[in-house]
Amino acid sequence: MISRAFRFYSILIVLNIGFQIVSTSCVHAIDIKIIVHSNVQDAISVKDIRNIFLGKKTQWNNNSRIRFVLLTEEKTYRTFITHYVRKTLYQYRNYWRKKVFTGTGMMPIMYNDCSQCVDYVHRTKGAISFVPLNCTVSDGVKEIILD
Amino acid sequence: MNIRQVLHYYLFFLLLLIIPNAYAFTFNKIHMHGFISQGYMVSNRNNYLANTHKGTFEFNDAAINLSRQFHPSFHIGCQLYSRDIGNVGNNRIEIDWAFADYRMTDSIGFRLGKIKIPHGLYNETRDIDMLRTFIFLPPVYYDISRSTINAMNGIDIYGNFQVENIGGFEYQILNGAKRIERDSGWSRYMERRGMDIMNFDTGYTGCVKLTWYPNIEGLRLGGTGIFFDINAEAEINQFPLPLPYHISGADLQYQLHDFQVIVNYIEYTFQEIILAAEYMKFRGDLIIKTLAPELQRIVFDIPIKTDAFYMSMTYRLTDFLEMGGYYAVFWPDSSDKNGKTFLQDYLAWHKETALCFRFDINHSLTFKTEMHLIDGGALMMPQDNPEGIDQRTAMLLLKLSWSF
Repeated sequence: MISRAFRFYSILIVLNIGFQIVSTSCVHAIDIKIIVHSNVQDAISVKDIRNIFLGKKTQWNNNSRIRFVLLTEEKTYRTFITHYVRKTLYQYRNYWRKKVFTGTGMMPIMYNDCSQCVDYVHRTKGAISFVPLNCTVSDGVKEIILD
Repeated sequence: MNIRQVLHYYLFFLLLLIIPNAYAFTFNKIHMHGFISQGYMVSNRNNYLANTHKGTFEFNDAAINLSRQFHPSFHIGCQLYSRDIGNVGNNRIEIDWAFADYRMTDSIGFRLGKIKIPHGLYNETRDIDMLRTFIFLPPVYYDISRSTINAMNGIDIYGNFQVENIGGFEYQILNGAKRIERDSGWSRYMERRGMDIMNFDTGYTGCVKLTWYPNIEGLRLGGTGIFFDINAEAEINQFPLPLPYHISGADLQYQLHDFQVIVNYIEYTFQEIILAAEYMKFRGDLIIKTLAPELQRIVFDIPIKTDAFYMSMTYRLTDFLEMGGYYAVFWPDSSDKNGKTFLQDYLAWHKETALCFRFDINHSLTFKTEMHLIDGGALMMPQDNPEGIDQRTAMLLLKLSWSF
């Protein structure tokens, strides 16, 4: 009985892992654009994006502070974290909760609406965020193309 | 357990279940987070960490923290923490950490105050149940060592940097001192050696951590080291000692000299799977001196060679369900892994297999159930098992945690 249940769950897990590998190796169109405050002049790579949103890169090349903000609208948030930060949403949340509960960091600023993200980036020097492709970007905010 | 206690726990669980997702409170730019958890432990043979043979709810913890950012590079904060696990903690409130943090650049920052010690991969989050899969971390983080390796007062220099073609590095260097309470888990560990600790005096404590993130996605590896001395005064009690030394009579001075705790670790994350392995070495000299003036002074110098390792795997199946398991081994004296000099050979090891299921009911509430199969008595306390220690123990753990 136990061995039958063990076999069943083992097959379930293997199928689940296989499904995840197949699903993540499929090419998805990423409907996201990265936006920064107009004073940001740096060329930014995908690795920089990852380090910024993990709080490891905190300064632009001119030593001004980087201020990142998260758009927590589920679909965009999950896509961005998976493709750019290379973590699952669960892992990313835990990464910041670990910082909060050990005192080594503060929770990032979060907005649930893309217009709030755009507004924050517009009025904050050194700010960076991500929004869906169809989100309107105002003056003082520029979209960047990653190196 | 009487009807009043049952009602108490029932109301506690009911309250948690009806609370939806909870978020941090913010007042005047001060952020407040916290958690509370209640567990239940039951074992079939030995008592492990508490009176588990009959089943116990003496297994809870809670914390609340406040922090404020004054500048993007400067913040301060503190966390109060309380726990009860068997005879340890008893829900006394303690300052878990409290420090000011100034991050000058990415490659260098400073923290000043009471800081969590980076021992291995998970020591800093050992108390925070909702941040991991398992209820009990493996014996590299054994519960009774918490008082010794949890936090220290001092200064922390930290940072991270990138090296072209090699990868990223993170480092931490801590210098300061630490305090160990008389009723800590460490005292209980010394009790099993027949000593009743009267007071602790710990001096300089140092700690280093270096983690390497090579250019292989999801991989990190590194090591930590803790270095300190412990002085204590103790009275002798009579317990069945697992060591060949058996002392009785006079009061003692007890010193742990050149104490080092070294951990090497590797962790690999592939999508929802996390594989981890750690190897820990305790090294030092335990020096015991008799103090009674009427007796001839006797000095014992006992080298400590304690080793532990584990391998673990966790896998998140869905947003709701995660599972994990580990196999861990602990040898109190690695020069005698087969127990030739022990009263019973199985007191020379602790081999543990654990399997855990974690259910994320929502972002704030988690429930876990965990099964442990333990072979060996190296981490069983004789004072908890006065009728003797059995070789094998099975244990079931349940834990509910709520955080905001």
